[in-house]
Amino acid sequence: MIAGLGGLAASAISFSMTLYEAAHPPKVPVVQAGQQIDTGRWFVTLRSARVGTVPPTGVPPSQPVQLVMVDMDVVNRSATPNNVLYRVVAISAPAQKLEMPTAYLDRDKYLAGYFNPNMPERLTMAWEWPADVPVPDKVTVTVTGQIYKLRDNLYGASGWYDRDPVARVDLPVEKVP
Amino acid sequence: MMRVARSVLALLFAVAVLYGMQHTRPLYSDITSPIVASGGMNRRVEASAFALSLDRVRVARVLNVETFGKSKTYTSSGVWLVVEGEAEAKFETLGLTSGEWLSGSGVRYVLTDRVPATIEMMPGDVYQPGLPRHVLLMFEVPEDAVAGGTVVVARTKLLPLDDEIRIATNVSGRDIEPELTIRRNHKGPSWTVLPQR
Amino acid sequence: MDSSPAKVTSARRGYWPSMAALVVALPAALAAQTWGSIRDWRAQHVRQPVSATLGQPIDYAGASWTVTRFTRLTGIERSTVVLAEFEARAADPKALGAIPCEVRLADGSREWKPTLFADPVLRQQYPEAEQRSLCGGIAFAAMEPGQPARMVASFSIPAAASSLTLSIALYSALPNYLSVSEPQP
Repeated sequence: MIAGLGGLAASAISFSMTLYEAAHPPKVPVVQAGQQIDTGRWFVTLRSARVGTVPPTGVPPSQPVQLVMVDMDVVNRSATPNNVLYRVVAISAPAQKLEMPTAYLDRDKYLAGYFNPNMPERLTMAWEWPADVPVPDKVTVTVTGQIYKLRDNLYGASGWYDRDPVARVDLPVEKVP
Repeated sequence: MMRVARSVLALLFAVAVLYGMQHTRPLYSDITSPIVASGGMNRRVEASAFALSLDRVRVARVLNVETFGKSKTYTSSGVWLVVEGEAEAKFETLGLTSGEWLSGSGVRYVLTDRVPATIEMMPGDVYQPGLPRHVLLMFEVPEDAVAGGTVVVARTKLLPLDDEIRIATNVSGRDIEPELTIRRNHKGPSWTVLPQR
Repeated sequence: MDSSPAKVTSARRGYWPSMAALVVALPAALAAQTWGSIRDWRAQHVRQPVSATLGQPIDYAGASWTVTRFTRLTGIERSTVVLAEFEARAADPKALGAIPCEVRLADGSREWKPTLFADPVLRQQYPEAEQRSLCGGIAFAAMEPGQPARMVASFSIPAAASSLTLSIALYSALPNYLSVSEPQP
C-alpha cells in the first residue's frame, strides 16, 4: 500500500519536473566564436562555418550535396580515446532532422577516427544540408555538456553521460564553392 | 510509540547498509576486468590463450608510411610510438584486435586508426598456434605520456574476463627521433622501420 | 496495521509450506532459465566424432560426404600449408546451404582455423583450389540435387605438427562431426 503510494508520488514528481523544465527551458549562455567551451569531457573551440559542395578531403561526392562545415579545435579531457563528437556539437535545420555529421581531421584531410586524451586537434564537421532548404546566413551551434558518473544507476558502471547544453555559438556561414 | 521508533531505526539502518554497500562494492569495470599477465620488455609473456614479447619501442615526432611506392606523412600534436615484437597463439587460431598504450598516469591511448590498413598492424592479422609472427603497433600520444608507459594487448576489448597481456616498456621519453619511416615490403618481413638501428 | 488472530494463524500456517515450495521453485526457475544455454553449450563443446576415411563416402547431415584430398604443401620457413578437399552430394542442397559449416584442423592439443586463400604458397602450388569454394552457403547455392558440391580448406600450421585430424561440422548435425585423420605416408 505504502509502496504503491510512493510509486505514484515518484511518477507525479517526475512528471511535474518534466512539465516545469519544458515550460522553463534552461538559459544556455551564448559564447563567441574562438572562445574555449568546457563541456566536461571536451574542450571545444568553434572557429567558423561555411557552406560548400566539396568535403575537406578535396574529393567531391559522386552525388552533389550541400555541406554545412564547421571548423573547430577540440581536446579530449577524459582518460580514454573517443570519437562521438556529434553528441556534443550539433546544428539544426528548420523543421528537419539532419543526418549524422562526418568529422574530418585537418592534419590528414581525411576522416577523423578517435581523439586521444590530451591531444589538441583541429577538425571540420560536415553536415549534409537538405537540398530544398536554403542555407541561412548564420548557424547556431549547440554544445552539449557531459558528466562522468563513477557508478551509473543500472550496473554501477563508470561512464560519461549527456547533460544539458552548455553553450550556444552563432557562426556566420561563408559561401565557398 | 516504541514500535514506531523501532521501525524508524530499522529503516535508517537499512538506508545506511545500502549506502555502504553502494560505495564499497567494486566497480563494474573491476568485476568484469580482464585477467592480466604482466611482464617486461624482451621476454615472452604468456597469457592462457596467447603469448607476446616486445623487442623495441621507438619514439618519433613525424611518421612516414610508404606502401608500394606511395608515401604519406603523418604529423602529430604529440609523438608517435612504434612498437615491434612477436605474438603467438597457443591453442587455437585467433586475432589480437585490441592494443593500448597505458600512460604512467593511467590514461589510455588506442592503436592509431590514421595509418592505412595496408600496413599490417597487429589487429588485422591472424595468429596460428605454433607459428609466432612479428607484430607492429603504432600509437599517437602526448610527449608526457611516453615515459613509464605500458603496452596492453588483448583479443578484443569487448570480452570480459578474457586474457590480457601487459608489458611495461623501458622508454624514457627523452630519446625522440625527428622522424621514422615504416616501409611496406614485397618480400621477406612485411615491413621495415627506417632509419634502421 | 493489526490483524485479527484468525488471520495471523492462517499466515503462520502458510509460512513453512511456502518456504519449502521456494526451495523447489527457485532451482526449477534457474534450471528453466539456463536450460537453453546449457543445451547450446553442450552442442558446441561436447562433440561426437564420426570417423571417415580418405576417399570413402560417408553420410552426414543429410548428404554424402567424401574427403578427396588431405595433403601438405611445402611452406615457407617453419610453416606448412595443409590442403583439404572434400565434396558433398545432398538431396536438398539449398537447405544445407543455410547451415553454418565449421572446418578445423587439430593435432590433439592445438586447433587451426582455415586460412582464406590468402596463402601465396597455395596460390603458387595449387591454383586449382581457387576454383572451389569454402564450406557453407556458397558451395551449395548453385548445386542441383545429387550433384557434388566441391569445397576446399587450407591451413597454415607449423611443419613439426603431426597426427593431424580434419573435422567438418554442420551446426544442424551437432554434436556429430566428420573426422578424418591425415593419411600416413
